[in-house]
Amino acid sequence: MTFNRRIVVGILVLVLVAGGAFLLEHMAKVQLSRNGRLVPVIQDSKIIAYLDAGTIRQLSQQERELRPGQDNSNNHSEVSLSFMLGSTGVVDYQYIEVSGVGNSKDFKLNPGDIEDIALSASSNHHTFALVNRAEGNRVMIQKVAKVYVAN
Amino acid sequence: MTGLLLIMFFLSILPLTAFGAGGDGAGNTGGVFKPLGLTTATLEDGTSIINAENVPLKPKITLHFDKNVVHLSYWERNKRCFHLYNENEEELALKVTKIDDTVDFSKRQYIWVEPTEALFPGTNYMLYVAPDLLAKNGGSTLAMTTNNQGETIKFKTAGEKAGNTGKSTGPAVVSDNQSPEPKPVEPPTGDVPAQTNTESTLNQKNEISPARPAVPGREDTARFAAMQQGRRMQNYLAAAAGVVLVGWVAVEFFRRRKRGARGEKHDV
Repeated sequence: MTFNRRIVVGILVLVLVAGGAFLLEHMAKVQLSRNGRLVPVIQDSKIIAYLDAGTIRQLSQQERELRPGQDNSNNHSEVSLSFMLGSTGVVDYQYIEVSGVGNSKDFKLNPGDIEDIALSASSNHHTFALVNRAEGNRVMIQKVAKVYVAN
Repeated sequence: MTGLLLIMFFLSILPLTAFGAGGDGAGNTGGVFKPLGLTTATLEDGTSIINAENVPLKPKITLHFDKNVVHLSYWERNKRCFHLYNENEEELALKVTKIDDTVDFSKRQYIWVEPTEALFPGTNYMLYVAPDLLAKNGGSTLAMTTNNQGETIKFKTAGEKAGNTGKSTGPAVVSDNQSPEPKPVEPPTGDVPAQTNTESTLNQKNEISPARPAVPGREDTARFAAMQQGRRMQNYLAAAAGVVLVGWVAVEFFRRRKRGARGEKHDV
């Protein structure tokens, strides 16, 4: 192989690596969103944040520090929906629509309804569930797939 | 070829080391954190708002820090660090926004602050950023660069002062429904309302914050300048490495071409 050809091949490899990385990232996002491992929070038709089970655990810790005496004081993998929304930068909204993976039922929640609602990270599946604390952590959605915020 | 690949590898690594040096990552195990600082505070047109006059009555202030301050984990904590006061030291309602770093990583160091209601014309205001502002690494705080005082930005709105100015335009809360905010470490003193515009301006230019002496303020500015100079140096270094690489490729290209031409002559 001549030297010129080597340079061209090198540049092509770099372009392919960069392009492949972007493609891989996009494919991973789509795939992980489908099985509930990466959950987009959508507002104004734009994704404002991505959540995963690890983020829920981090938020749980922060909530315990900032709001001591909350219901989740003993649960290290649960965060209230209101705290999660605040952390993603959501300020004003009309209602929240949470949908799950597959054919699970969607839940439409008004600002007054979300007080007892929490997100609970699963230790096995790298996903998180929507639970109702007022009803003994009744699981409303086992694997959350999308959170839609309506203004 | 091996040399070329090695150089390309090291060039790819160089920006990552610069990124890591900025303390933007998830933290370090050594427990030593680089300080978090405010780099610029600008209006939508890009002009600085620090000690500015003729500021619009509904300004959207862009605060640029030198680390990731928008990470999900600390946003609830961080958004409580922003406070706007009028001349009478009354706190005004603020809208604090961000673009999450999981969506746009390039905006991780920016926070936008906007009063929820229009300000009064010809009035002095003070934007206070509390020292507890925390970077994503979980250890760098604004207290480290502000001598535990937080950052104070003074500005004056455009227009003539009317008779009834400086009144609170809303409740003293950030525009979300979270619990009451902690008070800032040092209560702001503000400017004396009876001062003339010229006097106010002079005072504003001579001290960054009334809650701390002027000298530390200058030190902070110098520190920010030093940080920026360090970043510029990193950029120059990367550019120089690029030039060296291109030059080396060019030299190698012509050397081999020349050798090839000689070989052909020998063959003939």
